[in-house]
Amino acid sequence: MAKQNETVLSVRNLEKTIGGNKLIHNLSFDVRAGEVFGFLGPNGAGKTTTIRMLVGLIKPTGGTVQIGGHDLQRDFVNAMREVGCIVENPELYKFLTGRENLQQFARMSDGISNERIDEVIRLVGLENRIHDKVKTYSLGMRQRLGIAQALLGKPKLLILDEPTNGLDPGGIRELREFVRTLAEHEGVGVFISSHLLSEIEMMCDRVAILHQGRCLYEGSVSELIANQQGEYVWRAEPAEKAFDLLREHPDVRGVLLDQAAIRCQTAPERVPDINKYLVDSGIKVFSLMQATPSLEDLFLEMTGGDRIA
Amino acid sequence: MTGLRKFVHLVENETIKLVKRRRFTLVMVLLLAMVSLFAYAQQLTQARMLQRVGTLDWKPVLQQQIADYESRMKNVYVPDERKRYYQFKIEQARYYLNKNIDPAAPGTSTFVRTFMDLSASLLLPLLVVTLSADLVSNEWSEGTIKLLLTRPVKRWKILAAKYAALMMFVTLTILSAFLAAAAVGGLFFGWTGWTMPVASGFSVVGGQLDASTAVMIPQWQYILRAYGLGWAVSVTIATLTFTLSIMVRHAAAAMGIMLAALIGGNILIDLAGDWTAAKYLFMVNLRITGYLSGMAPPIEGMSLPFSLTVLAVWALAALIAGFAAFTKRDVLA
Repeated sequence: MAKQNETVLSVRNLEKTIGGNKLIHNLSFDVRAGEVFGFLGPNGAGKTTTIRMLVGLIKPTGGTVQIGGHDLQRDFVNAMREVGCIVENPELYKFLTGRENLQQFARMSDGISNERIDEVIRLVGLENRIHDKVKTYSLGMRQRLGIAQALLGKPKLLILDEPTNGLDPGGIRELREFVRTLAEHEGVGVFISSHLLSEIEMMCDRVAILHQGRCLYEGSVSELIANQQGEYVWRAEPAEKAFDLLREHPDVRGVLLDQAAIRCQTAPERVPDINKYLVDSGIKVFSLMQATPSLEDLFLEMTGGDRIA
Repeated sequence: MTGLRKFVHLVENETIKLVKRRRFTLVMVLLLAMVSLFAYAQQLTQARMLQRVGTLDWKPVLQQQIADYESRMKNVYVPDERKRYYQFKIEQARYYLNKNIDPAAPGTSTFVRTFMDLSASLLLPLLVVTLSADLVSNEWSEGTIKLLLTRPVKRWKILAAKYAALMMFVTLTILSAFLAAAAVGGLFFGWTGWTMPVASGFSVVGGQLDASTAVMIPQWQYILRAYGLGWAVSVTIATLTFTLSIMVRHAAAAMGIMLAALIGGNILIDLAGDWTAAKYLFMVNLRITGYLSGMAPPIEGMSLPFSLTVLAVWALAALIAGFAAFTKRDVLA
């Protein structure tokens, strides 16, 4: 078990150019033991390219990746001992049984006993079907088997690429609980990518937001939301007049009239003065609220409104 | 030692995958079917010969063959190449008559010998292509390459394990070819002939057969050499196909390229008598057992050491290219 706050994945100035196109620009972030790190971005942002560089499937054209303190380029074998991963779909050998698949991967690592194989099978709840060929498995079962192979070597870092793809809502909730348990009780650092924020914002401690190969934000989910709390909603009458007054106010931006509610952005310390100004101008203020944006809204805002689902 | 143990584990993995994909089963079924067909055809030919010559005594049969070749040589439309080949066969037949050896004495061991002569240049290479055409590319097409290459194992070791497993199965294929031919041949022609003397070591000087270097060896020794050469051909073809399965993403494309090369090579041998540079192509060097029985080499200047060298160079170059590509390539799809 990794120590808390130990950095299990450290990415510095990672870059990838393919055929003259720079796909990834100067990417840096850390994942610590025991935390769930969300890697977010719309389709085509470069998430998959980045993940493949993290596990040695693609060679970076610049920068370094360190896993558990081992440099991936210079010490591939030791770095990969610390990682379990599923890159995109869990594509396993369909002509082998679930257990035979796990045995294949166990033989490729050191010191994975039959007991460990049985243990991960129980952990993902596949005991009943483990002796059936994988081609008879449902997508959810393949996903479980994929997680089982990722956990075989007791990794410090678990990398899951779009793990919620093709899962039903129940499966997603199950995965969420499973991931939280791994991080909190086993101290595993989990790196999880998604283009669907709503599905993973609840399980992540920190996130990085990727757009067009650049990192737009890296930090905790709560800070991200707190930083952006500059949106307020007034319910006032007459609404038209209040709308005009706010629009003309020099400290207020982005004023929107939405039926009886007026949404606008301003700095928190200016709110009392602006409210006084409205009241002094003869507006009846019924309520004043701070709007809490969802991560999804922020994300849309940051990525320039790209469709994300 | 742990490094070696780990490598054995990797080879074990590849062996399991190869067996469970039922590739080897397919090769075995094909082999048995072809051996049975050959045996049946051989038996039919003998029956026809009996009808035509009126005896199975080998001397009249051989004399009849000499007469056949001589009459064919009188045909003005036969090209000089062919005529040289007929002349060659005639001299060989005369050598057997003089030494009182039946070159086609019936019995399973003669069948085993003939089978390798017939299949070394096309049938066995095709079977080996079946084993290896998708050995690497299927990991790509099934997406399992992402699991395979994210283990704590260097890429070249994974590829080396695949290659080692392939070599094991190529060797098994040659062994099985021998056993199948011996068993089926035994049922059709009887179980004898292993110690019968056979002439080998003919040399060719300026297109003429030189029998002075020929020696008598027991047939089992001859068979051992022939199957060894068949193994060398199969290993070369397997290695080339293995590299193709790394370079080419689709098994069908790899299969098509090898088929074209093998069949094209067999056609080229008959066409390229004057194009001497063709002797450096691997596919015209596959009728390698012909050097043992004293067949005229397809192109002037070819010999057993020459052909073995050409095959080895091709295989080695392919292997180096394959490893270089596999260890460097980005897994994008």
